[in-house]
Amino acid sequence: MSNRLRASLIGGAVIGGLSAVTVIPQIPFVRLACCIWAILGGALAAYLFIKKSPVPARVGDGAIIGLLAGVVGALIAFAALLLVSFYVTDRSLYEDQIRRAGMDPEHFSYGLIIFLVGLLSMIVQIALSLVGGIIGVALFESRGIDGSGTPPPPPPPPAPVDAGPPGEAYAPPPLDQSGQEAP
Amino acid sequence: MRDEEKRGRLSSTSLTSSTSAFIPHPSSLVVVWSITALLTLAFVSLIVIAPMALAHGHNSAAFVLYKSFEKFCHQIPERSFYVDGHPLAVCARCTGIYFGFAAGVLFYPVVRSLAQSYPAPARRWLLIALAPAVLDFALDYLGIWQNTRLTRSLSGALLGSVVAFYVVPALLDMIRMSPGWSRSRETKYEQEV
Repeated sequence: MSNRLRASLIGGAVIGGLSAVTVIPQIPFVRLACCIWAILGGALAAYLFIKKSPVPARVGDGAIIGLLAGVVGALIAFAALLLVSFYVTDRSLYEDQIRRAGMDPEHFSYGLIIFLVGLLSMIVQIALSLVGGIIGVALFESRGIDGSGTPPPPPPPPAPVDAGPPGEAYAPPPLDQSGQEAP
Repeated sequence: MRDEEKRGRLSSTSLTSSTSAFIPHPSSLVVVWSITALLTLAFVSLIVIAPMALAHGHNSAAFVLYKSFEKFCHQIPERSFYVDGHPLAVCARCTGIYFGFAAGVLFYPVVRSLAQSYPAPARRWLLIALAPAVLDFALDYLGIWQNTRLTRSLSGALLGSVVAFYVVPALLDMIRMSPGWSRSRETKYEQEV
């Protein structure tokens, strides 16, 4: 398994696991931190990737890892939402909310609402996790030009090709009066 | 070598992690930025559409929008801005973050060239932008001072706008890292050149 996939799966599992808790209506306070969890999950995935990566990670790497982690996490959270909404939560609570919103629960599909809410939440979660991955690289990568650490060493000079016999130094071609190379 | 890079051939950079970097066609960067800006605008408009839909009797659409954002924000009415007599779909701080982010994405090409957007800004700018939001939250939490909707939204807007300057380069960098996507455009570019 590649480093990128491994980091994304772990980050996604964290996002999905923590976000799955938020679909339980009996635990309201954890909802406040849900947006943070999506960002933290993406950042965690980026951190894990950076830790194992032999070369400095780019911000593009962070975006890809955050995106993958977000997809994994959003799928887990969506599955949890469906399971809790259809098998655990008392449907009458939801119907009360629909009634309070001025709608008639008889004419409004409970399943459709859950599906649309889940879909929109998935999109937001993936976007937040993507941002988290990018922020993770910006914060944790200190080796390369994306971080604020020491810049990488310059590449080695190219090997000389046809350098001539040893001891004979390279001399630039003579220039004419206009500064151009003489023919 | 410079011309070869411009035509989209492999550039030998020592900073790439696993994939070879391409120098993409400038129009690819504009396309990526445009898509990002459009999606961001669509997203922030949902925040405003929710109360407007509720005010105009589209209860079902409003219900779905409020319910969706409920997972990402506390939606306390006292801490939210109002449109058409109803609170926005997210609180004042989140509103600031999302609208600040949208403004950052929209004005990105004015502040920084899309073609020279790599690398992303140094991390200190992110930490500096985060500081007012953290202070605003912490001082209120500790009871030292009472924050307002304005301070919450402004500190959030600063954070969101700065985050955009990390996100746009990252999305443009994804294009540089995906030769398969850009190669077809590079071939056209090469033919034009």
